Amino acid sequence: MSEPRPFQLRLAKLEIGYGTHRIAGPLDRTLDSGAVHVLTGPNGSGKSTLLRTILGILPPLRGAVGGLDGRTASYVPQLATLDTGFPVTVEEVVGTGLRRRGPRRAARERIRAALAEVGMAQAQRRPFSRLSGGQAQRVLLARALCADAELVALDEPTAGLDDAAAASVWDLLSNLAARGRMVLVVTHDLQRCHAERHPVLVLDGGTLLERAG
Amino acid sequence: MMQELLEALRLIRDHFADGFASLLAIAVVAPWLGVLLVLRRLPLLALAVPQMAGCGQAAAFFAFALLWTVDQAQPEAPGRALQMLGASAGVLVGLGALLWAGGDRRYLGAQAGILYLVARGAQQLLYLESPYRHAFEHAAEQGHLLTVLAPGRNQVLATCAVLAAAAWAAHRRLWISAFDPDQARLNGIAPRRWFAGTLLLIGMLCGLCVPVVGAEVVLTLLLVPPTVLRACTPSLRAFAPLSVVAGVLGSVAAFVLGCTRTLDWPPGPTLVLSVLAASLCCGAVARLFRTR
Repeated sequence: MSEPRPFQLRLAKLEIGYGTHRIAGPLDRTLDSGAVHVLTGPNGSGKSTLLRTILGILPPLRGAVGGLDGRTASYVPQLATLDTGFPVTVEEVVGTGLRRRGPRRAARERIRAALAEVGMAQAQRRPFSRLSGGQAQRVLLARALCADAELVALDEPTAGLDDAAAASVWDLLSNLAARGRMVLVVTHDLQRCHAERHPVLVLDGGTLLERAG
Repeated sequence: MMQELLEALRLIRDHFADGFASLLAIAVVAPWLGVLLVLRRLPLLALAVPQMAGCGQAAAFFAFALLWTVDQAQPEAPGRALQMLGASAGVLVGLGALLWAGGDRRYLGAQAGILYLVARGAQQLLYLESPYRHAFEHAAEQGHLLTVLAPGRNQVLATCAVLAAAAWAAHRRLWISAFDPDQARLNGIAPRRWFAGTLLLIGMLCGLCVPVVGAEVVLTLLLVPPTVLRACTPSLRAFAPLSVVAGVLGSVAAFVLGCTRTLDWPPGPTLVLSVLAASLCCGAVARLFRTR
């Protein structure tokens, strides 16, 4: 995994929402790479929408997201949004993270390494539909690792995980940030964030505030 | 029994080779494309699109009789180009109506089911109201595999070759956009464009092959193998090849059964049953490997 050059993500007067329905904004914020940025807030405040807008999956209503030109990004969605009945193996799910698949052997090696990093190497050929919620979440994390992205965005990655599994996910995210990646996490698990001293942003009432530890 | 089988194979080689080759080509391509519809949870589109092509073809017959004076007792069929035009127009109208209706994507399947019924009803009425009712009503119901001629065979083979090449080149983009549209966008794949691409491939298959072999043949091969095998297949890599194997085995069995002297079954209904049987057998084998 190569170390990327430091970069900044800039939200400039960003307004987010669907169609003409504005959920939050205007938001102004600059985030640095090499850190885990935690985004929290009440249900329906627009956390997932903000994440998806930053990644370019949703268009902004107004304003802009800057600093990501030419940078690679990966996304770990909430598990409920994926079709778990899809006839697909763990290896195939992780492989979707590769932008260009390239030579088969090299791709396999990357997939294997990513799965080993999240402790799922033995499940490589298992059907994705047969995994527990926690295992599936780790596989999606492996997909993000496999993409070797500079920005990794995760939507409630520890939801439904037991304490030990959640701790290993947070360790993995801290490790990614230490390797120069920018990690954006939507979560309600604030106890762990404070313990790890990650900066916390609160999206509430349409505005983005920094929360003191 | 062996003697009868050899006799059927001889009959196929000597008289029905064009129909057999056409069926085999469709048996390779249709299940492969059907997999994409099943992955998107839209299997009923596999019913609606071929039936719309059949309805368009019936409209071409109806219009031909209406615009040109034909002998009512022995009506001359419209040319292949007109039939293809009718079938392609039928597909376009059907897909256009589905997309125009819009609404909740979860109900697209139900809308496709309604479209199938409408197209089937319209097709029957168009034949009933034209001088071709006796000559073509039967064929439209049961497929016309045994009457395929060399130009029709060439059309089917060329269409299937183009579609297979396109599906092979784009298969990764097609399935990623079906499985996880957000990840697809991050990979630079536009999910809507690839959904439209999927519909285009299936529309081409139906518009160009249904006039030659009939709607029932195409819709059986599009729908049955992938739908039956979805729950049994261990991986995506195995899904399409397994569906193709089931389609080919079922097609060969249908043709041979249809050509045996004692059975002499019509090809359409025989194909439905034999493709279903072959899909169930392939599914059982896949389950066996999956549980090991």
